[in-house]
Amino acid sequence: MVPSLQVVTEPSPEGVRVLASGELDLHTAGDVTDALATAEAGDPGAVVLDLSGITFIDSTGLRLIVAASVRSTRNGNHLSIVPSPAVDRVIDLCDIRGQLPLS
Amino acid sequence: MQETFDALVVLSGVGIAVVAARSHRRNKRDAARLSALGAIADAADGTLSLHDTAHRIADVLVPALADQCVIDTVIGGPGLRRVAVRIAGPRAEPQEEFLRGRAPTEPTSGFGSMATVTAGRPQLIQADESIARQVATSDEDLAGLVALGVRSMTVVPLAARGQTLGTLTLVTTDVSGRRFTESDLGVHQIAAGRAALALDNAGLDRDLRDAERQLGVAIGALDEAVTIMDAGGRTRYANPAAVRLLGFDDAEQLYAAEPGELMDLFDVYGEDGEPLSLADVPSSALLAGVHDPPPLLVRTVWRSTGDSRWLVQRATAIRDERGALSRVVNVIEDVTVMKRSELRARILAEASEALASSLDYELTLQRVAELAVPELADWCGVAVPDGRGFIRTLAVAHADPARVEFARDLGERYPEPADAPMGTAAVIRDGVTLRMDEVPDDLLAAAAQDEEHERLLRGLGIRGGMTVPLRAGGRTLGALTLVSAESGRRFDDDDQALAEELGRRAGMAVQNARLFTELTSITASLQQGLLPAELPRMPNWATTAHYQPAGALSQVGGDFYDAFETPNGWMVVVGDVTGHGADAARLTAVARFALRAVAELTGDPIAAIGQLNRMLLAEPQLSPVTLVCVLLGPLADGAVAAQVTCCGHPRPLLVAPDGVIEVGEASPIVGAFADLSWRSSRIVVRPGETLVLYTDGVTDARGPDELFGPERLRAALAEAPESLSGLVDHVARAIHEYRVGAQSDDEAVLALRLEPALVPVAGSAIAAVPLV
Repeated sequence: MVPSLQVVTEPSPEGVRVLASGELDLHTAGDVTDALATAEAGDPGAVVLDLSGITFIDSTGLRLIVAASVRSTRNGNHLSIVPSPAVDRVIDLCDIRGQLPLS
Repeated sequence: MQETFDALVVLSGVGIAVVAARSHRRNKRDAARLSALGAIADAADGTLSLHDTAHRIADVLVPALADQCVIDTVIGGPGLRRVAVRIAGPRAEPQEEFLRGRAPTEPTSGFGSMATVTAGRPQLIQADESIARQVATSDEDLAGLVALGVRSMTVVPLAARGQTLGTLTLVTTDVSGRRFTESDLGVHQIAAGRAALALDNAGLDRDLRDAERQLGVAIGALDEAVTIMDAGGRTRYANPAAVRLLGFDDAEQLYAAEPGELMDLFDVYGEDGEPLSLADVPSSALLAGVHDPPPLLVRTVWRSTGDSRWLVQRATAIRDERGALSRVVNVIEDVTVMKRSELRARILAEASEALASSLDYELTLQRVAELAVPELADWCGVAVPDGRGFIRTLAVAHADPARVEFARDLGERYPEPADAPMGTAAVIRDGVTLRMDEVPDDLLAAAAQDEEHERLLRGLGIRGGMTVPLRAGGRTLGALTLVSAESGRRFDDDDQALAEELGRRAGMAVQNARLFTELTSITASLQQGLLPAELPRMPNWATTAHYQPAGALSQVGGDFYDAFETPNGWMVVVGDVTGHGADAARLTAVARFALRAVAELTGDPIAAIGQLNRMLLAEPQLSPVTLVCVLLGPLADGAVAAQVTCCGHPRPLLVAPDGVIEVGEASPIVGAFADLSWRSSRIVVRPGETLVLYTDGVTDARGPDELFGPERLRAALAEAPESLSGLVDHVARAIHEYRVGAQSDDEAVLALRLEPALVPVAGSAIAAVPLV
């Protein structure tokens, strides 16, 4: 059985890239939260949350994105989020495009 | 002439007599030699020491084969040393003493025992003074040697098992006046061969006894039991630890036992609990010809006492030079303590896992009972009070399922009353462990309710047992019983400690399950309290709500809805706090009441949302909330103008005769960011049209290939029946039928229909009723 979410963390020239693809929802968001926490703990230069492979995102996923964004503002880390069409839709639904560090 | 003839006859007679006498002497000598060779074999009695054996041999050889005999040997070494001297004739004693004290001649001289040993060849020496002078070490020594009166000597190597053990020196002196010949040397070689065997055996036994003694001292002190068996399986040696382990008073008893007798004292089981036979243990395997049997871990039960121990048995072979088995050395290590604590730890770990695996504690307790059997006990049972005056059995386990049936039947036919003075009832009442290492007959009779019951109880074969309380939070919820029956095992304090720990964990599991069930019902009530059971009656509007939280049991949903009056009209809210549980419940309350508080005062949805945003930002945890807020204006010109504010939430749908459309525009989610502004949009609702507000659990419902989605929702609304309740039911059913798997998010649908106006019939007397 293929897991509904795959998370991979890899180093990038700027710092760390956390790639998540599949479905980001109540059941799988935890994995991305953990990966982000690990990446942020390592004090990288920049963190890229690459969600370009996300096919489905629900309110839990949305909350994750908002939380990451709020955290980066508070801690002064450089965060950038790469959306997928599904992620874009939800961001527009919530009308928070202007608030998020999207790339 | 006659005189000459007579002289010849006399001479010839004398000659014949002389010849006869000589041959008689030779026959006698031959007989003596044969007899002497035979007698050497007799000297080879393994029980004699080397010294005694050598002297016996020397006694046989002197004076039968020689006037003097000297035996030198390397046995018991180091080096060649004189072990026996025998001299026949007068002055034997001083001469023996002289020779005894004399070191073997240096081999460089070419003479003597050392030369013979070095060369490995026998020597026949016709003595003369020149040789004596060559070997003498001093004038005194020379005088001594000359005084011996040596005429001839043979020095023959003593060899056995391919090794030279020393030399046999035979000497003729003036006492017999004889000189040895080559034929004597031949006889002496035969004698030496037999003597060597005799000496070899003597040495061997002594070496073995020495070695055994040293070994005995070493292994006598070991904790491990060590026994040595011969090739016939009889025990020849057992150290004190072995004597203790096997339950004998002393080693002699053990040695006296027949090989098979020992195995009859025990029942032996493998690690898997299967019984083993005599043939399976390593020593038996060795005796049967298996070459290198691996160590074996067994559980041994003493038939007489019922004692059970875990032993690691190792057997090693001692083989002779032909490779045949000579001895079997058994080392038996008692690992009971280690094994038992390993077993206890494992049972505790598996029991904890079983208890945590499910809230169905009847199921998990049955699993725990099965874990305890047969390693901890023969029977295991768990019982709780049933609340109606009796003790109910929740779990029963035994290695034999047929016996479990029997025990359950027994429990059902004769349930134990909760007020019984002893047994399980007493343990539950007092919360104290009851342990009985031997169950006396009269106790069984007293516990029985009638004769049949007593008979059935005896059928369980109870020999001993213990009952421990299931405790949690200072209360006793039930009891766990371990019983020893057919195995006859005895419970010790460590077993009791384990049972009590199991009782505590089982008690906690039961407690948790019960609390959880209570929590669920509390939560359900809470849920009801947090959401209005019925929407208030809003003039001109018919309203229906469908709400179905996702979570099982204690999961309070994150969706909320509300409707209340404000200075600017009725306000209807549908929202979603992400999450479940107590925190989510609290947030829904915060959201509802914050919005209501500001809106009821100001009639301004934007202000209310702004205030909610500030309050949520102040929450310690990030608490984003999505919501739709609809402010319904008054009926004017036959329609209602509504202000829709949609915050990060699915936009509402308007169901009108010509179709279903989305209304409102997207505004940010609430509670995530500061310095945001929200926008409303104005829509018009005509009579008969239905405004539908919903949460994303509806459109996110998972189907076979994709999600329910906004299209299917619109379709369901478009084809729905006329009535409002029918509409909502239809949508709910469509979602339910579409969904595959469990519901993963809360569903809420709120439908508001502007009631059609009462239109006056032209010319009728009925006046139009103004709709307020």
